[in-house]
Amino acid sequence: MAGTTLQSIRSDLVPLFRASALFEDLVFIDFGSGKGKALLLASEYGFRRMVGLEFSPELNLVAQHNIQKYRDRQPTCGPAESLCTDFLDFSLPKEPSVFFFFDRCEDRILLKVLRNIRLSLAEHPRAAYIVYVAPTATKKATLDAADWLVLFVENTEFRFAIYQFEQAR
Amino acid sequence: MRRSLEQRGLRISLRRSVLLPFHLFQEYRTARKQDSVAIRSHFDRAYDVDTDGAIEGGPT
Repeated sequence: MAGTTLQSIRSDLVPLFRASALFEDLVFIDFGSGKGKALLLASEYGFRRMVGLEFSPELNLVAQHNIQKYRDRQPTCGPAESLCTDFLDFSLPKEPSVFFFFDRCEDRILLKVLRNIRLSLAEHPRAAYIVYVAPTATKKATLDAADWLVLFVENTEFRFAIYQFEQAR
Repeated sequence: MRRSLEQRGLRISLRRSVLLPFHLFQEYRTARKQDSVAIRSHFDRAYDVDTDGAIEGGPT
């Protein structure tokens, strides 16, 4: 499987955020935020706030440090935070959200996260999007098979797919 | 070479001379690896952050 370097994802993500003016004022939740790069990039694109979920305490610490340093350089960036938590323990915000994945989480974990998102949306219907960068074929198939999601944008050049919660249309 | 012969004897000196290119290559590879780690992305340099790293993942 070809590797994807985090050094290269900036060029991959910028077109994604630029193409997504509809994301403005939504909450950006990054599942598997690592060192927080996606959070930093997203902070320039009008999201209400950004939340990164990272299982590794070490990476979370680096991400928090990065957020602080980035804010020092870019004081106008939006509010961002990195939390050390399990995806499945995180209580999803009730606000319109973008659920962002660029992570190798196991397929069974993705299924559970999707179930949580679906339950949350059923309980509190709201605008919601799932963004998946560089999904494997299995993960793409999982998302395509979700009958509560509609494929909104698929960009093969930058390898991302955006799914929209059906009730959000 | 003379010192090696005096200190280690003929057999070990010969073995070391045969293995020298291999050891040099190993050192070269280690140095290359360290160099590649030290390269910071433009983004990290611009904002003085540490986000570089490699993860698996690939095209669909």
